Formats: sequence, structure tokens, C-alpha cells
Amino acid sequence: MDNCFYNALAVHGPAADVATFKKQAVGYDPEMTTKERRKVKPCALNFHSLVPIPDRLLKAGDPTGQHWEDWEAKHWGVAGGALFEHKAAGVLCIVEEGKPNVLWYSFDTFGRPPIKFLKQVSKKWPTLLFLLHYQEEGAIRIGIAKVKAGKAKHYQL
Amino acid sequence: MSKQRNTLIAKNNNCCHNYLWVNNAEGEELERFEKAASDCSPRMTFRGKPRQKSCSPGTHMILFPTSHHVLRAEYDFIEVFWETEHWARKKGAPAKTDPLKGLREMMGETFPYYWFDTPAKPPMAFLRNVSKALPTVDFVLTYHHENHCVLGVAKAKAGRIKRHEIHYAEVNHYSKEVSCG
Repeated sequence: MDNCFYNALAVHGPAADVATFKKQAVGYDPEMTTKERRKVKPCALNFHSLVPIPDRLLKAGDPTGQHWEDWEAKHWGVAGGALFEHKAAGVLCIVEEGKPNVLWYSFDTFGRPPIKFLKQVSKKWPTLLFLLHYQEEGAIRIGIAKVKAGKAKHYQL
Repeated sequence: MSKQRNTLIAKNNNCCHNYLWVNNAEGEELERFEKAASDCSPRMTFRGKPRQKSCSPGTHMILFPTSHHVLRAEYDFIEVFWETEHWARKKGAPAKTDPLKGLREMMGETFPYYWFDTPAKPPMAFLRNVSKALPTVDFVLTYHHENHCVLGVAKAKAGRIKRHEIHYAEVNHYSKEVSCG
């Protein structure tokens, strides 16, 4: 079984772009029904809201979940996006008072850190800079990454 | 001297935000770490005895005396030397900054982290020393120096440190407002 990764992500940029990003990042897992969505709050960092799973895949349905997972692994680098159902704290989004140029997210992923996802997102948001710190459970793999306009600098210990 | 120090601390917004994760620590080791970390700073002692009956409960780390302590203490060259030698820094923690402790749950396991600020630099020498003292524990330090636009990570075990830093000066033009505490 894949290990869990804890991620802390900082999003830097012009205040207006940071605010728009924050709004756009919110959303629900596309698998959730309308009824299910009524019961829970939307996720603050929903991968599908930023790099959407194509309509053709969603419409085709995926009872085993394999096709969607394959697509997610290919385009996000991690299947399942930011995990929140497993965690007590969930996905957190923090905005520090008086700092409209920065957003902080705290979330978990399975198997690896979401570098590929951030590359995709940063292509769409070229004015934003993404700084990621991650650590695998048990501190096996730890790293930092800087992602901007589709390019990533990544160091792993 | 104390007045000068207050001014220094008040003006000091050149801070480094740190997260220290304590991984793979058994109960006893964690207790040892916390006990060592909540000790009084040597600046708080006089002829080997604490100047006060107890340290502030908010002072989790020996290297981070609370601002209350810092402001009361007299400055002394030997203590500064000790601090520089052991903590790789001096002058205590910036005003208003007490370390915070949190618990992180991951896959059903809980492990602690400490969140604190240090002036100017991440506490690398402290990391080396504490990991020597508790050689089976993995310490992971993430630090973020906003003024210098540096994000770093360090892993310490048994006195050995691996470390990487990323510089991101490109955000300077829209992230100039930086404060500490």
C-alpha cells in the first residue's frame, strides 16, 4: 500500500490572482452526488476544480475507479487528489492577516507529493509561485519544491 | 543593555519561521526531548541555579526563551557565546513569539511538531545537538525565511544533517510586507 504524504503548500502572487485562485480551488470530488455534497463542506483544495477530469471520462462512469485513477496519476501525479476524508484536520487553507499575497494549504496525498499537479496548475496560473514542502509518513522521503509557469525545482532528502 | 536589547528585538522582523517535526520517537524519548526542550535558558540561571522558580509553560524549547524572560535577562558575552555555539544564533526569540506545539495525525498515527520563529537563521546547530542526544529519533525541520525568500528543509539523525534550500526572490516585488510574531 502506498504511503501517505503530508504537504504544506504556499501560493504566492499578486493579491487579486491569489484571491481568484483561492475561490477557484474550492470544490467537490466529482464522484460525489448532489445529496452527498449537501452533507459536507467543499474541499478547500479540490484538484478537480483546478485541473479537471475530462467530461468524457466523467460521463462514461467508472464503477471500479480504475480509469479515473489512471487519469489522475497521469495528470496530477497522485490518485485521489488531496485527501480529506481520512484526516481529522482535513484540507486547511490559511490566509495570514495583512498578507493578501500568500495562501497556505495543508493536505495529504497518497503515494507521492503533487508535483505534477502543481506543474499543470502553474501553467494555468503563470503569475503565481507555488512552494511545496512534503514529508512521507515515517519521514522516509522529505522534500521541497518551487513550481512556476509549468517548471519545477525539486529537492528530495 | 537591556533597553538596547528590547529595541533590537522590537525592530527585529528578520525572522525565520520553523516547523520541527519529531518522527519515530518512542514515548520515553519524546518525554526526554520535551524535558530538555523546556529547560531554562542558561541566561536564566545565576551560579547554576535558576533565577526564577520555574520557566514559562509556553517555553517548549531551551533555545527559545519567552520574550518575558528575554526582556528580563541581562546580556552577557559568555551567554551569547554559548548560544551562538549551541544554537547557531543569539538574542533569544523575537518578542511575542512563543513556540507552539501541535499534533499531526497521519494514517492513524499521531506525532508532534513544534512551530516557532527564530531571528535571522534556522536553528541548525540545535538540530545537530538534539539529534545527537536522541540518536534514534528523526528530526525534520522546515523553515521559511520570508525576508530572504528562502524555503528550506533539513533532516537530522544522530548528529548528521541533510539539508536543501530553495530561493524564490522573484516574489519580492509583491510580497514586501513581512513581519515577525
